[in-house]
Amino acid sequence: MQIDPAVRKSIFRGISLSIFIYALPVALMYLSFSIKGYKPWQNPLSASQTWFLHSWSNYGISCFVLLLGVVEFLSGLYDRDRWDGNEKLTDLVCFAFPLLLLRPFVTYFGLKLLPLLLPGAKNVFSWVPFWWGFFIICVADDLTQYWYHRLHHQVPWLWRFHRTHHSAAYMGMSMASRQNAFYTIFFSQIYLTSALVYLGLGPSALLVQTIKSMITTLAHSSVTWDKPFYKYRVLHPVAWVLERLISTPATHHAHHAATTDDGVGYYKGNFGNMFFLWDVIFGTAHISRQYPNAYGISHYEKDQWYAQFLWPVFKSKIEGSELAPDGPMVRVDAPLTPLATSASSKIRQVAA
Amino acid sequence: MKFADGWLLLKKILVGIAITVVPLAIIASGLWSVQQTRVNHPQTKSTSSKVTYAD
Repeated sequence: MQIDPAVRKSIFRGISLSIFIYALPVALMYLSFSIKGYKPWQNPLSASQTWFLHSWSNYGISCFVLLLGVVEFLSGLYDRDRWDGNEKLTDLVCFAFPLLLLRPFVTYFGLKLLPLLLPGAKNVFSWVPFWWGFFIICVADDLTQYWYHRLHHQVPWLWRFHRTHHSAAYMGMSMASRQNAFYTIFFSQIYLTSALVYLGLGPSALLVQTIKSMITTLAHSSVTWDKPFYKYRVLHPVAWVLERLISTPATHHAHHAATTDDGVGYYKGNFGNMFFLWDVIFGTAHISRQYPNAYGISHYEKDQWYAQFLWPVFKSKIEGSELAPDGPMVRVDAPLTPLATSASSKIRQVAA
Repeated sequence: MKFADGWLLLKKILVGIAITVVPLAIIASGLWSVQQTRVNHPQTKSTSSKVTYAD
């Protein structure tokens, strides 16, 4: 299966533009130093600031995710009909895997492999001022994740590594971590940010990761925090900026819709994770200020959790599934049943 | 898992490496250039005494 020529052209154009965007924060920093005659290597971050960031990044985010999960449970998102044993296992295994195995793996990469790959480069850029480091990592980490994510949607042979993230018929904070293991292990932005931490941008990376975790978890959540911004006219200017800058439930839920191009759902775009700005820049944005009636994949027939988590090592036993041994690379949409649409809509109304 | 699956995984890893290494190279070379330019700049150069010895 080939990539659509128009999509291929758009990808190459976008990647060319990205090279300039990656260099932009560094170029602006240089300009600022030149104008001010600044000597940044004289102002390191204080130990107390680093301690606060480290503590918040470790414990604050865990408490925030737990609290959001409780709110979603209480609002009836995880009912027995929709969240059956197979879905529970898929969500829980995907949630636990990064915490139990990926973190030690990435830590090993940062502490043992990077000194071998980049000898003598530890902390060489620790002179970069905190907020410039923050700007550099925001762009580096999130733009890389945008491309990683977009390629998994637009390059047909990569789609099945990302399919698990879209298979659930509901939206909730657990969706943020519901991924195939190989998609998670080879998350490019993790290794890029680890390398930048090794080079000396650690404190800035902590703050970026904290903010990013909050934005992406909230964008996947069934708690539609952005609704008041669309409802009250006085807040419309704020909504206009917000929905173009960061991922909101409305724009990211549209990305998880079971149908596309119906004016609300748009799984062909809205690939941004922390920043929605990338979608605006690269022409993949769709803003409707509405929430889809149905989520997931229209032809999903509950593939076994182990196939969803470890494909291609384990395959699905569902005949005709994209994850089955001889399944198609990409299946076309199936017509949605009225039952699936109304049930999903009901959950969304309860959660909102 | 068949050979084709292994090849698919390998291709995926290579794509992942490419989209990690390219931004890293751009940013690291940019920061290195800033450092070199600013350190060697006459106004920001530190005043270190260079000792020379007579023959």
